[in-house]
Formats: sequence, C-alpha cells, structure tokens
Amino acid sequence: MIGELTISIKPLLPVITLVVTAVTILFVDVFGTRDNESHYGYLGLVGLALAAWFTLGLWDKSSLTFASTFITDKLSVLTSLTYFLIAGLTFLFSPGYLHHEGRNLGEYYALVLFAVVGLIFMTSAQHLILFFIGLEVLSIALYALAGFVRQRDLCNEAALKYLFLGGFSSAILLMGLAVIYGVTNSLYLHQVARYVAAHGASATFILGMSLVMVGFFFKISAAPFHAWAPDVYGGAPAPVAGFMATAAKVAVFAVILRFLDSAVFSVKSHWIAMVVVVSVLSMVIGNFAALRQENIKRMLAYSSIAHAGYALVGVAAASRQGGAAVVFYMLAYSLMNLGAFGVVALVGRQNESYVNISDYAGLAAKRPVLAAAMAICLFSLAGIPGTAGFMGKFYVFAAGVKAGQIPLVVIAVLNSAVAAYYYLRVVYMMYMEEPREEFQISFHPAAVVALLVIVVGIFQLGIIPGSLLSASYSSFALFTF
Amino acid sequence: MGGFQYPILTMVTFFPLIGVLVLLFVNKENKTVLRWVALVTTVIEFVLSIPLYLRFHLGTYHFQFVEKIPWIKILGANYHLGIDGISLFLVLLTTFLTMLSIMASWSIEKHVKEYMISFLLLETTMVGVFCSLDLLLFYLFWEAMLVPMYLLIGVWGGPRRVYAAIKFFLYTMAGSVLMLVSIIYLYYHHYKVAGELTFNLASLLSTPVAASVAPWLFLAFALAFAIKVPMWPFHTWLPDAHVEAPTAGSVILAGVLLKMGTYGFMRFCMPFFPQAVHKYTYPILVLAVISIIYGALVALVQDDMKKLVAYTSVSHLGLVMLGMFALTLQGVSGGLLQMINHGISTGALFLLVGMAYDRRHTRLIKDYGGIAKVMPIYSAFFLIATLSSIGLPGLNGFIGEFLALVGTFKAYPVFGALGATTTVLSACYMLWLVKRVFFHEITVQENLALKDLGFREVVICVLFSIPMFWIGVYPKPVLERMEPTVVHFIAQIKGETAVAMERSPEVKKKISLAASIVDNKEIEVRP
Repeated sequence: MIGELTISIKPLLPVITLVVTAVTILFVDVFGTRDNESHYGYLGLVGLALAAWFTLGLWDKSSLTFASTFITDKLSVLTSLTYFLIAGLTFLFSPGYLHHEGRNLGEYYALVLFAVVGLIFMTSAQHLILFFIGLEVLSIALYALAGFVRQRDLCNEAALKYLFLGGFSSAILLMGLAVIYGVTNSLYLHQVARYVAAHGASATFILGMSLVMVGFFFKISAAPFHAWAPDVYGGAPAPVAGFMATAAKVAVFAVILRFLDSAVFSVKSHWIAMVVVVSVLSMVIGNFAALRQENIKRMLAYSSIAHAGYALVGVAAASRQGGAAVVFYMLAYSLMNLGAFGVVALVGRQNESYVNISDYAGLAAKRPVLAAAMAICLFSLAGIPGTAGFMGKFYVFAAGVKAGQIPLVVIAVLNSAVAAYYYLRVVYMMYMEEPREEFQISFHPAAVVALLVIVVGIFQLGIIPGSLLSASYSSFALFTF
Repeated sequence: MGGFQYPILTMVTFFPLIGVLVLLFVNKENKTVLRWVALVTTVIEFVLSIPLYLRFHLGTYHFQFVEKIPWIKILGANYHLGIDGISLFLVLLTTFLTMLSIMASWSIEKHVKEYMISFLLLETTMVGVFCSLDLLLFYLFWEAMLVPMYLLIGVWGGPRRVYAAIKFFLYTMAGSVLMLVSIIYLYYHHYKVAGELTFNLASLLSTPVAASVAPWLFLAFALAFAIKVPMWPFHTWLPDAHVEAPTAGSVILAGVLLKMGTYGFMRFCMPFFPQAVHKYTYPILVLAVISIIYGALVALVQDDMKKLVAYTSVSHLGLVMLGMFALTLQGVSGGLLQMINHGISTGALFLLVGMAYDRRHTRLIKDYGGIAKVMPIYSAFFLIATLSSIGLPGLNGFIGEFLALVGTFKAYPVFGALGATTTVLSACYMLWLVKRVFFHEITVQENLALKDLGFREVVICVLFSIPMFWIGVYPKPVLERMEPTVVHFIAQIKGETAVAMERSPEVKKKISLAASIVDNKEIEVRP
C-alpha cells in the first residue's frame, strides 16, 4: 500500500481551513452587521484559495493516514481542486442572485463550504464508512441549500423531494455496505478486494455490490434512478442547482472509480455489464426527455442525466485511460454546466421569473456578451470541437473504443448528435428570434468574473488540454486499472 | 519539403482571426468600417495564400509547406499542417471565394459585426480543414465549422432559415460523429500494431486495417463525407440550407463546404480503405449517377432561381464523385478540377442570383423576363457563369467535365455514358433559365426600372470571370500541380508503391504526358 499507519496533519489542512472559514463566516453572520453581506463570499473565496494552495502541496505526496482510512493521492488532489473551483464559481454567481431574493446570508456560504468538506472526505475515503459520513455531510448541506430561498414553493418542494429521495438512496447504499461487510468482514477497500480475490464473489457479495452501485447511480442521477433530478434541479435556486449538478457528480464519479478499482476490480465482468446498461439508459432517457423541455433548468437537468451517461462510458472502459477520461470529463462538464446555470440565474432575475427557453428570445441582440457566454457553454455541452466538452467526450469515447466497447460508443456518439438539437434550440432563441423585452439584468461584477473564468476554461480545456489530460492520467498511476 | 522560413500555412489559416480581433473593437453601429475591416482581412488573406501557388513544387506528391509541432502530447496529436496537389487549389478557392463573399455582403444591414465575425471564423475553419494532416486537428476544424455556418444561415437567412440551419447542423453532425469513432479506431489500431499513439495521417495510412473491419470504417467515413457532398439520398439538407442562407452563405456552402465531402473521400476515406473502395465502387458509382440525373431533373422543374442553382450542385458533385471513383488519371484529375470549377461557377451563379434578389426581393423566375434589355452587363456576366457551369469549351467547366467523363468512360463505359447526360441536362436547365429570365419582352413592370450592376458588383463579376477563362484556356498550371498527387493517389488505392513509380522514367514520362492531358492522349496508370 501507499504508506504506513501514520497520523499526519498535513493531508487534513485543506479540510481544516475550510471548516475554520465556514465557522468564521457563521460567526461574522451572527455578530457582524447585516450590511456587510457581500463579505461572506470574499471570505469564502479566501478560504477556498488557501485550501487549494494546501492541496496543491499534496500533489506528489501520497499518504494514508487515520488508521488507513484517509488517502491523499493525485486523484483526491485533482478532484479537490475541482471542488474548490466549483465552489469558488458558485460563490461568484451567488451574491447577486441571493441579494435579489433577500437571502444573502452567511449560512449559505458556510453550507457550501461544509458540502465541500463532505466531498473531500468522500473522495479520500479508503474505508466505506468514512465515505458514507462524507456523503451525509454533503447531503445534509445540499438539502438545506436546495430549499434556501424558503419563500418560494418550488424551492421547498425541491428540498423535500431531494431529502426523501436522497435519504432513500442513502439507505440503499448503506444496505449494500452492510451486506458487503457481512460477507467480507471489513469495509476497507483493500480488504474487500483481498477477500474477493481469495474467495471469489458469492451471490450475496454481488447483491451487496449491486446495491452500492445503485446508491451511486442515484447520486449521479443516472437513469433509471434519475427521476428526482429534474424536479430538484428545476426547483432549487439556480446557483445551487449548478453546484449540486456538478460537485456531487464529480465526487461520486471519483468514488465509483475508487470503489470499482480498489475493491471489486476482480469481478469487473459483473459491474461492467451494469454500468453499460445504466450508461445507455441515461443517455437515451436524458437526451430524449431533454428534447421536450420548455423550462431551461429542467432541460439542463435532463442534459446532466445524459452527461452522466457519457461519463459512464469511461467507467465501463475499466481502464486507466477510462478513469482519467472520467476525471477530465467531470471537470469539463462542471465548467460548462456551472456557466449555463450561472446565466440561467442571471436571466431568471428576481424570483426566477424567466426560466423558460422562450424567455431567451433575442437575448443576443440586447445582451450580446451574456448570450455569447451562454452559447459557448451550450456548444461545449453539445460537444463541438474547440471546447472542453468535445475533448471530454473525445477522451471518454476513445477510452471506450480502446476497451472494445464499440457498440456503446456508437450509441453514445449518436446520442450526442441528438443532444445537439436541444442545445441549439436555446442558441436559436437567443440569436435568431426577435427580442420581446429589454432584459434589464443587473450584473453583479462577480458574476462577470465567473463567466470569464468559465469561458477561458472551456477554451483552454478544448484547445490545449495537454497538461490537464496528463494530470488526470497520472492520477491513476497507482490504480489496478 | 523545406526551405520555407515562415509558417505560411499557419498564417493563412489563422489570419482571419486577427480580423476578428479587430472587429471586436469596432463599434457595432459603424457598419462601413466593419465591412471594410472584413474585406481588407479577406483580401490580405487571399494575397497571403498566393505564395502557396507560386512556391508550390511541381513533380512531387509529398506534402509541402509542412509545419509540425506537438499539440497534445499525451494523445500523440500534433499541430500538423501541409498541402499537396489536392488541397492547394481548395485552399486558394476558399480564400478567393471568401473575399468575393465579403464583397457580396455589403447589403447585409442586420448585426453586421456578428456577421463579419462569423464569416471570418468560418474562413479559418475551412482553410484548417484543407490543411490539417493530423486527424484530430482535422476533426476539430471540420466540426467547429458548423457553428459559424449555423449562425450565418440561422440569423441572416431567408424565411425558413431556422429550420434550414438546424437541419444543416444536425445532418452534418450526425454524419460526422460516426467518423469520429472510426478515427479513434484507426488510432488505436495503429497503436496496437506499431506501438505509437498518433493521429498523423501518414502514420495511420501505413497501418492497414483488417479486411473484416475495413468496410465498416469505410462506411462511417463515407457517410460523413457523402452527407457533405451531398450524394443522393443524403442531399435533402442541401436545398434548404442553400436556399435559406444569405447569398454569401450559399456561395461558401456550394463553393467550399461541399468540396469538403469530396476532399474527405480523396484524402481519408479512399486511401485508408482501398479494399473497401473496390468493394463499394459500384454502389457509389450508382449513387453518383443517380445524383447527376436526379439533381439535374429536379433543377429543371424549379421555379426559384436559387433553388435551381442549389440542385445543380447535387448534379455536378455527382460527376466529381464519378470521376474520383473511376480511379483513372483523367477521371480523378477531372473530378479534382471540377471541384474547383464548380466552386467558381456555382459560387458565381449564387452571387448573381443574389444581386438580382437585392434589387427585386424575389427569386422566382416568373417575376423576371427580358431583363437583358435593362441590365446588359449583368446579363453578360450571368451568361458567362452559365456557360462555365454547363461546360462550354474555352471555359473552365469544359475541361473538368470532359476529363471526368473520359476518365469514367475508360474504366466504366456504362457509367461514363450515363454520366455524360449531365452535359445535355445542364444545358437544358441553365439555358432554359437564361431564356426565361433574360430574353423575350419584359412582362413585369417593376423590371423596367432595374438598375444595372454598380462598381462593386462589376468588380465581383470580373474577379470570378478571370479563373473561368484562365482554367478554360490554359489549365496546364493547375493540372501539373495536381498531377503527381493524383498519380500517387491512384497508386495508393490500386495498391502499387508510388515511390517506385515516381522513380521509374516511364512514369515520369506519363506525368509529363498527363500534364498535357487536354489532348486526351491514351494514358494508363497501371503499367
């Protein structure tokens, strides 16, 4: 294994920084005056930057601490940096939005930071209980965030649905963990792997593994476990929806890769079949349902189901390259999805009154920069070359072809052609329809910075992705894949 | 081929982006400046591309002006550009037609800034497609091109523009995604065999695929390119896109974008899978002949001038495909030359139809009639373009059509004979169009007041007439630049080693003979 049983504080520095930042924000919220509300976001950004700096220092220093439950490796570093980016962008989009809703409160930022802490524990867990605790930390923060604009019915509905279905899926996952523990007598990934290697996979074990996988599929909103996603993403405040749709997915995908690789790789024929079926269902259901959406948030929700399907192609490849492709894809996906939800938040304005696709008519004529940013995100989601979305898809599909999953890849590429239609429909609304209103959108300058970062990121990952591809590839160097 | 100190292909490919940068800083109300910036950019771009012609080495099929630097190391993708006898004239055609298109876009009043930006972006991607020697880079340009074209059709097009734009986008994308899978397959196949990760065209070509897979990969490539060409029955996007696009958009669609299909066949599809080419020659020839006849017959019954010209493309490109798949020296050279000719003459016809539309805001043939009396200059140029399009000796169309037909006839007499109907049919639909639009009495009162061409329009017309006469009268410089590449191409597919051929004096003789190919000497490539 990677290290002995040591206790070192360094791997935890990012987490500690985030918790301290979050608590500070809460204190400022309680004791400070209410008129300095915009400081929460900046405080949060500083915390994230500091955590990112600590995390970067861990890049080449793999370690295993806390009774071998907490691993710091390149995968966890890379995904942590992705969470910080996502949270940072969310912080940039949120102040303007929350201000309009009169809910720009410190706890929002604290909750996001706590969610990130949960994410880090999930991806660093070598023991499945630690993973589960991380997942619950994340989920509870997300339940609260989903209903954050509490005066809005849709928001409350989203939060409640998310709570019920999230709890339900967590229960399934826990059930699976219990079964695995019952069979193997351990929840350490490597001990599970050792047991399976020595004793083979019994039917009970496969049942436990399948339940765990179903739990994972719920969390990444893969079909047929996706039904909650459109309602939750559609109802939650747009910046939160962006955060949920990206951060949680990045983490759970990383966990899936870790689990499949470190614990159950020897029975890969069983899970590959599952992943392939779920991948196809997600792509087909997600894309065809998205075709018919009138609400842009629901459209993006269905599109995110489809994107989970594309990324699962990389998982089904069960190879080092597949893993790297999924990590890269998730970063690309996060950027473009956050950008799209960010624009949705801006165009939606107070109380999200303008979230139908038809509300985007003529946006380009009145707000050319905003429309261009949205168009770039949408083209990236559609996978047009030159953007991050294309490189992500390309790399995932390449991994699929290499692993011999050619029929799956063919289904995936055909799906991405179908998907182009509903992304183009928004572009068509923005550019080819006459404006029906003035689009009086008040920009918070922070949102402009966020959009700029996203657009630059999309092109950077789309045109010169080399260094990031290498980083994601090297993050699987120690895997069995 | 070395000796060139500056990266000329990079400059030609990316120079339009400099124009885009400048345009971004021009006030969008200042339409004249916007237009001039775009025009100057495309003129400089055209001038930049001329040295490609002048400094092109004769007598070699190797790629020239090659630039190669690592792009994405972990994938083995390179930024790799280069041109040969196939792509040289397509690049020149692109820069030439884009320049004319910008001139023809003076009448655009809506969102001029965005229009010009889209056009210049389009130019970069088009030149990129023809210059890329790395398959990933090629695919990047190939697909990225859809975005500006989609916007051009969808924002500045006719009444059904949105439908046409989305149809265009989805058709092309659906076709090309399967090609992407094929590219990836070739990439890993090469890796398995040669242990090297690369998208380099030459390297991938050196690793033939198993006969059991080749037909599938061939079909995936062929579908992407056949949609673009477009071959019957994949042509249905074309009338919509061509008719709804703004004039300049139609010019580029017909002049350049369709050539990407035939270019793709020549550059990728056929050399990669020679066995599959032999297997599918007959089906493709049949589709080509159907395209020729069907396109012509449908053109015959159109009452809209633009739609008529649009359908002629189906017919003409069918002839190009016929010549290419005949795999004789004349056939391939003729097909290649016909790509250029079609770009010029159909581009010219779209420009001319656009000029009429600017005046009368109708394209229906019945709204015209007898306008030769009021617009003599216009009528003269229209007639030149018409004659060029139908292949009158002395103009460019003749050479290409003749070579392609002779080449086909030699290999497949029946298909050659069927293909030859194009000469009759094209004369029918074009001359009948000319008769109805330009001759007889003026029946519609508004036409009495029509103004003849202005200075800008005359410049456009003169510019497109020059290559028509030049290629028509003296095609040797064009043909001799294409020749070695064509010989090599045929050898590649027929399975001979081209290097050996180039060395043998016999072949050298053939090449020189072929350069005087207009005399129609009997030349066999196969020894």
